[in-house]
Amino acid sequence: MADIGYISLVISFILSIYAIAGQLAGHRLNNRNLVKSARGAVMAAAILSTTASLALVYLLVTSDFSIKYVYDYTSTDLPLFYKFAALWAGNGGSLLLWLWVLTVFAALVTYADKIKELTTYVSSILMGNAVFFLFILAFVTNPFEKLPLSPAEGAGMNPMLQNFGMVIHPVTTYLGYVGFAVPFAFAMAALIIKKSDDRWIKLTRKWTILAWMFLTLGNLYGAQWAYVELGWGGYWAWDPVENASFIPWLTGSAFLHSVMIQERKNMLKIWNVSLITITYLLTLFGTFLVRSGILTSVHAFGNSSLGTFFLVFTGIVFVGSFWLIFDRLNMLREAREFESYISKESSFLLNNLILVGIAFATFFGTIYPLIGEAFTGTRPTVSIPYFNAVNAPLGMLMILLMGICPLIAWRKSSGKSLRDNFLIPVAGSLIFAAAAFALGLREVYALAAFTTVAFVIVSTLMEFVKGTAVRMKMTGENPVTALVRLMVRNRRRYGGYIIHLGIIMLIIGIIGSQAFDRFVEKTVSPDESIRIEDYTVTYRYLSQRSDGENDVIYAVLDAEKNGKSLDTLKPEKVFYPTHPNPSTEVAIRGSLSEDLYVILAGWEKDGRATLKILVNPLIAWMWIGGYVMVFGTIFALWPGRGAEVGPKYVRGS
Amino acid sequence: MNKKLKTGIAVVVITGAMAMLIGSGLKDNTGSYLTIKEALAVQQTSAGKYIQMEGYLKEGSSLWDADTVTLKFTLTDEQKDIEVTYNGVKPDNFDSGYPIIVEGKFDADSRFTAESLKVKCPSKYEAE
Repeated sequence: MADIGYISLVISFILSIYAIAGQLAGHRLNNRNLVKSARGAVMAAAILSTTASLALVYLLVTSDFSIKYVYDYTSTDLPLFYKFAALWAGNGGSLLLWLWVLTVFAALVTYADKIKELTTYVSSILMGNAVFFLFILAFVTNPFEKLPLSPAEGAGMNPMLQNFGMVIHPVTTYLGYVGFAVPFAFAMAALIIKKSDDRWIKLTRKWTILAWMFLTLGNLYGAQWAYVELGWGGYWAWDPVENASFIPWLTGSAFLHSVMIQERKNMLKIWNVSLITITYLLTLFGTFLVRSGILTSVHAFGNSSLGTFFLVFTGIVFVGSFWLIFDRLNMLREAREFESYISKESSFLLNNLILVGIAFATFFGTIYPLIGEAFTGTRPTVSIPYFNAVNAPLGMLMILLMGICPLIAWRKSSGKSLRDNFLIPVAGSLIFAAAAFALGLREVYALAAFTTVAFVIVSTLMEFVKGTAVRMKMTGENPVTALVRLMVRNRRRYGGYIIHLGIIMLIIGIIGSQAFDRFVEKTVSPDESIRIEDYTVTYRYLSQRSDGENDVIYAVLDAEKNGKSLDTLKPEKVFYPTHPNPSTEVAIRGSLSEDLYVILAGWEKDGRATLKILVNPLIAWMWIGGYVMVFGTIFALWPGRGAEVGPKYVRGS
Repeated sequence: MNKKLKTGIAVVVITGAMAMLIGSGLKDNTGSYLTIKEALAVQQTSAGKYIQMEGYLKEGSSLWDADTVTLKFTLTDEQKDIEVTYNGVKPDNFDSGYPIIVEGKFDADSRFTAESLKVKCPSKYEAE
């Protein structure tokens, strides 16, 4: 089975090179048969990558420890679920997953053949990326490497990876990363054949949005995984590895918005091509950061040779794509300009500047240690407050813009329409601010942030209300029918607003948990209580149980909120047979208003236990917001009538 | 003045403002990544400055005081050792022999107090 897998990779490597050479040569020589056979090679490479992936899954599931990868990441007692998920537990396997997604995407795009003159180049560019991954898999980190002897038992999976997040986070992140390869390839192909129209944008819009959605989910599940599994009470620490997937999300978000300007106004062509190129490069660069171990991260990554390969490949893609963009600059130049500063277009431009600004600030903070070391010899470190100090104000500005944008018209807004549109959201948010102040909210930043959020909510909901009212007037439908039809017939627009509302929920969760989180750390004797906020947590006793192969020590705690008794909480330490140290399983009592989060940090011989207790307000809204965003994305993408783009808004058309 | 130029100026102003924000953020929130040897060399002179170090827990050196929730241990990189105090609970895998990253400051009497103590997760990716 291992041989089948490895040979599939090697043949796939050769076929991928042929797929590129054949398509390009066939295209040049006008030889249809050659092109056809080369496209067959794309399909064959996808099938062989699938075979290789399935072979590794088979080896993992059947626990064939003669394979180093299987030995390193699994053991016989591991639940089947995690044996399967071990496919992406290590370098070789996760790159194989990446390759698999990439080749399947390439085959889909090649055979869909949507824009005939582009397909050859799109397919070649995607296969060029596949060649890189195949090279790595076949010659650098072969996941099918055999051990000289077959051990009876594997080393086991790291306990921290045994969480539902492990199943979702890597896959969604990769789908996001690889998804951006498709619009990138189309953008490059359009430049190669000198087409400056926006067909590539329209055609890849679904890819872009899906990639964005998966990357959103990837980041969010990563955060949630860290929150429930790592047991430090937080979900984001601006670690380089986290930033690596956040930065392309930001530039991808900017791209989603700026392409609308090109669709509507034929502007920002250079910017759009550059933005998608940068986004794709950032996914590669992020992988380089993650794999090279060049930065200090709590996520230990070694294998510097792999990092070097990624850096070289990122460099090649960077030079190649930007050379192409510069060479075609004339073609992309535009005569148009913004008609007014107070217009939707200019608010989109500002949105892009801020998103790219946040991306740059995060990028710069992440690599600053390397820059500093290069210039001064000692390595500076950038601490978490930097990221918060820079990104929080920019983020709030971004959120504010999210509320302003729907209130101003395309092309130009008149003073009167502006006053009319802003009246209710501004009044609404001020009333909210006064009410929050009256209820005792005194922290300036939180008050400002929540007021901004209230403004955006009112302004976004107004869009639904106004649209429904207009529709009722025109058609005489009742409010519910009018609202549903309004949304269904303008899915792109209202899907977008739903996503915005999801982001607002996410932001509410972030503000709440950053501005109002509280914690205590204390060692307590049995029946001693700890008070935190409205909670009283009483430690009763320590106990032990078995959970399959694992031994679990847990504390039994009675929690009360304002004197009202809640469930018993049982934070744990789990001892895995394959792992020398126990790992923390926190106890969380969650509600929409706050999470009570309890960590059993340790215990003494005399029965005392050390507890760390956190209260994280509003954090549940982060995860709810994520689901709302997914719903909005699917709503916007659902095919059929109502999903098309709005009209062009250019003078004279 | 034409619109293109005005737009250009607006973009430059906004970009400049963001650059200043980044600059001031960096000025206030950077420290140094030092080897233990380098840290010991500046022990007397850099009280209050933010320092990050990486090393291993010296075997048998960890002292846990449950009552005050204080952890004291020796961080070593096989060449030099340094005493570290951390006011908080032991993270998972603290004594597993994995690399430990401490961030903190020397206080007035030259003792290193860590504000954050992290164990590199023996992650999904190979260690060598």
